[in-house]
Amino acid sequence: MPNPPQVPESDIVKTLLENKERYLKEEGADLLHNQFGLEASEVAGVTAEFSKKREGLFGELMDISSEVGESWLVRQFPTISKWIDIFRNVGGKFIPGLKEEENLHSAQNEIEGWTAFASLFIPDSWLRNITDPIYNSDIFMGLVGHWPVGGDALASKISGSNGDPDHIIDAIRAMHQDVATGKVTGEVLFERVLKGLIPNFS
Amino acid sequence: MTHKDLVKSILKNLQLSTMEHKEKAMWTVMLPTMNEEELTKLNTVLEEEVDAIMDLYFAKNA
Repeated sequence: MPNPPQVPESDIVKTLLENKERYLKEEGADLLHNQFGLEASEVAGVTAEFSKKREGLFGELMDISSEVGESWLVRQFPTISKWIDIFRNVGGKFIPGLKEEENLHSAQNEIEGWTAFASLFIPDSWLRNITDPIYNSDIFMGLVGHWPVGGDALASKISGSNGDPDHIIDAIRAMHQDVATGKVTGEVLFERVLKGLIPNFS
Repeated sequence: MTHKDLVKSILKNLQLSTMEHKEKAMWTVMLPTMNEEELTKLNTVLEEEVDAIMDLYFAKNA
């Protein structure tokens, strides 16, 4: 049997990225039109109503405050779910005394797995509940803009897409990767990011 | 419904739902990790949506 033609991996990725938006957003409407003879606009009410219901169900699955140990998030991403629980319970404020380096390291695979899952599979309209407040945060955008490795490109991608959730998650993944692999050290963060964010910081 | 019947019903109804492909892929990936209670809830929502779409279809084509 002849070997199939080898396509360079970079081309596969490029093609997937180029067609991602069309595949994810337009094909559903085409399918609907072909199957039922109904335009997307004719079922817009049904689509919105049941998207909300499914979003509620998804929220139940992700809700680690109810039936701990039973939810999908707790089973699949136990360390991240604990962090979310901690941050939720303190209103998002950082807790002094936590050994964040150790915890970040042990959660590395989960952070990468969870952010990949969120970016690839969770609908953008649901993700915006989380990413819009991040996009509107001066601290986050300042951090991205001053990031030592390709920060300008990440920030312009986010701004240019009006806070596209995928671009925000991509930036979080890139920054996490830089810290986890030591590409961006605490010293560089201190010198470049903090001094960039706070002009009078010394 | 048994666990297997729930999964089969969900997979069929997913094809008829108006959700975008990204969300269809999400539920499909999550199915193996969901328990019966969660599967039942998802199946119920999907069945209701498909019923609503079919009502619209028959109203238009009556």
